[in-house]
Amino acid sequence: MAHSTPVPTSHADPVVQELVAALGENSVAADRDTLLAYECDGLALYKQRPRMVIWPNSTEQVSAAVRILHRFGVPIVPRGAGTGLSGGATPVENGALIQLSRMKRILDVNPTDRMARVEMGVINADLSAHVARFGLAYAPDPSSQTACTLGGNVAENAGGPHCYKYGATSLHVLSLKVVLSNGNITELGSPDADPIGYDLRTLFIGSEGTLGIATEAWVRLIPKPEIVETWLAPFASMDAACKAVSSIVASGIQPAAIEILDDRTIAAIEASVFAAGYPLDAAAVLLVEVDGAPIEVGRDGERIRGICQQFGALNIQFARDEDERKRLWKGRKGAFGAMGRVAPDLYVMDCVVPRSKLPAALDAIREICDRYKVRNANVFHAGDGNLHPNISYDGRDADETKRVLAAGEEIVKMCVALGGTLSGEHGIGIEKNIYMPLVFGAGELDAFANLRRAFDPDGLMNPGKVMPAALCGEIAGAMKR
Amino acid sequence: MTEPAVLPKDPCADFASAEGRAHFARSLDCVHCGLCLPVCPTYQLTGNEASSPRGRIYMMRAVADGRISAEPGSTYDNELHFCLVCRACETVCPSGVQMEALVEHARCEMNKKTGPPSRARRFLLRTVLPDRKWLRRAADATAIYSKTPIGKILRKLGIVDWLFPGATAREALMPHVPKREHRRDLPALLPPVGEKRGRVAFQEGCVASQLLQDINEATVRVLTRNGWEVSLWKNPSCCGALHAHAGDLEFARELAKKNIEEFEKTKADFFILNSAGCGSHIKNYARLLEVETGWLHRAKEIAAKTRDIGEFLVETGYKPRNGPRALRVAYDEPCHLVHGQRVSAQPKQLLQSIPGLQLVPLAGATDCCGAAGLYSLERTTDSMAILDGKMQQIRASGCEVLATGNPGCILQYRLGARRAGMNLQIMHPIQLLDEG
Repeated sequence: MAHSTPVPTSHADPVVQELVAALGENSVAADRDTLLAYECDGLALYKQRPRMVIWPNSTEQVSAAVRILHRFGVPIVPRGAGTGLSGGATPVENGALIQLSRMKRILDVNPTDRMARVEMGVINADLSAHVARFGLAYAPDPSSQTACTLGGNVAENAGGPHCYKYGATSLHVLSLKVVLSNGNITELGSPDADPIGYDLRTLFIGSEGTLGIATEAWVRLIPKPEIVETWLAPFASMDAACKAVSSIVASGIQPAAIEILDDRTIAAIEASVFAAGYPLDAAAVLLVEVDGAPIEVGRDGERIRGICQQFGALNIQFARDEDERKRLWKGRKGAFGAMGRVAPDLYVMDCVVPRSKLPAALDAIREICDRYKVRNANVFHAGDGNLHPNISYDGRDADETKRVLAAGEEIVKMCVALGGTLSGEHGIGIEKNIYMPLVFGAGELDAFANLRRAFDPDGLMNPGKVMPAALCGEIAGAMKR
Repeated sequence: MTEPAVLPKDPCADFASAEGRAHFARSLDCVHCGLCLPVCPTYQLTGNEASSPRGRIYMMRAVADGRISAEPGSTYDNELHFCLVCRACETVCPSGVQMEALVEHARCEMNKKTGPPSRARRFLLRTVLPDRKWLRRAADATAIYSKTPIGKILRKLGIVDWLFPGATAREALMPHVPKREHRRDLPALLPPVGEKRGRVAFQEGCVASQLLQDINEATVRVLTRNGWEVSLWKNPSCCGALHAHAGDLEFARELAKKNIEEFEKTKADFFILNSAGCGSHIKNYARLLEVETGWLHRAKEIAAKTRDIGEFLVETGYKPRNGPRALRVAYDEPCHLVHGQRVSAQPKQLLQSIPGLQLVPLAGATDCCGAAGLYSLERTTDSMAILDGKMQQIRASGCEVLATGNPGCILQYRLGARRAGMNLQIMHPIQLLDEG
């Protein structure tokens, strides 16, 4: 990488010396300020400085780095763009960060078979933009899609609003090239056919960097729908909005996306650069999108509007063209950042409840947050019952931070008690590993630990993530609360 | 947007000091979402979080919280100066973080620790740029240096590098200096053609007054042709943007005040700039002067009357060009126009109104070219790495003319075309509209 930025590196560390010798001066850093910049990802609640940061530019370089780190027994945390919200890329004490941001080549596009071979540092939205000329798109669309990498998407089995119809990352990755914990390179799955034998590809997707580091993938591309229609339906109560969603799903229609934003989220968005013209007087808005063939879209759209009106939707806005459609989505996709106007820090939670329990869960969230005196706003994938409670806070206020964490814990437990689960799409990371026993029994957790050991016998791959620390015999120091 | 409650008088108060915390409060809007990473030209080069807006803000916060000290020569220092202040991050930031304000302040704070600037830097910023007489001398000297044997002798004797350390190594960057008769000052008052619609003030700019006076001439021709009387002043010849970016906020404030005084004397209805960097900076005068007693409302007034030439013509209406220009033109959006002033549609509208002109799409049109004020001189390798990437996109667009509205970018692209061996004309959109 040709750039003149001198990265002052601490050569006192023998591991750093070897890494520099293998990868080059520009690919390793261990100076105070760089390490500081890497001490957290999108979840800023937990901070830990890494021992060094490594930027490989090929699978072979990843392998070389992992071999060295493995030999020295240095824990390894992979990182994409650092937009993850469960602390999957939070460094571990004395551990290395391997960031794949320089591996951003789109290696091959095969429009006939509708697939592409990509490096894992490719930005999600860049892939869709690149294949648009063939009338194709990459379906999973997390809200951070303009910044997050496909590698991070694979690690977290990322979703997004349109995964309601198209499914999350695991349905869109055909094969993976991965570097295992000992540095060996292997292929999981195949672009040509469904895997024979154990489906390790699916196992790897969503493993949050604990089974190895994916460096390359063949991904599935979908044809862009013929037409897309988007509506914004404002409701006078959250309850009515949720009931409308249940009714839409029960009617058998398959919208591309169904999102709900509450009044506080709307207020934050409308005050930001992502202002989308959402009505400030609504208690909740429903953002619904239908795509497909014109006949189908027209018919489904009419039925959806009918259902919304039946539940008291006020003034339904219809995106007449692509610009208006983008504007309506811009507010939704920028919602988290827009919350920056509320307080210096933001905790974006992710949990799931059965759709029918959405109103009860939302009432409970508000009650819990009011009780802990923390500021909450909600935006969520209503079609999947996937909630994203946002809690705004000031990380410099230790007491408030403690209250945020306590409220978060109650929210998670409440969702599980309602029949839901820990995460819809952000992953477990270090945010929720201690809650795993809420949804899994000792036998299941033991099976997980055995599986993990089979891939990573020395416990070096993203230790302390996903599983409760006690179970994987590794305390990363990341759970200091 | 978190607006600081009470701002300190000292523009360079430490982030960690009680006073500086008010400046620093601006960084608190950042929620660490990372949406700024992919649009940052330096992150694109390195893939390093510390070279991203989010990483830089994170380090600033750590300085403010006393977790690290701002040390000269540290990565923090390096990253502050690696940043181009292109403001692409501000356009995509959902939280409205004011990156330019933060970086200017952090540089100011760092300058205090680094010690006095080099002779050359101080001379250039404080003596040459604000004074038309010195600008002319500097242009004369550059012309003599590059076109006569004197340059060779000075170089051999090492005098050049003694005066301007590292200058000979950067000779390839040297712009073409037009002959003296092509860089004459414009008259102080230019009458409108036909019925007078009003009076506008116009500033020729520091570098542009010597190197791109043809663009200034085209600008005033279009203005007068459209019924505007144009009023100009010679000194200060610079708006102070380069000073503010370099962290010399103290001198930037002095220049701002002098320019406000000169503008008020013209009694003009508008202040027109054809330089995106200057327009953006002048629109920000209120931020610069908010703590100076008696200046805030004057700064707000000049900001409210300031327009980029393209923005102004579309807003007030203009006579379309008569003669056709059968050219394939790509429009590159200057950072301080698209990101700094959020002016994007108007220059394209101007170009599209020109008969025969074909506007071709340009990938990466809103990305920085790497000129960034003094950046190309001070961080040449980084600047050229960014420029070379842009030249590939420009080549791919198949354009014959590249239109862009900022002197720094125009000079940078002329250099880029030379480096890439491309036969490409670089023009200001106003030159294409002009029929003179």
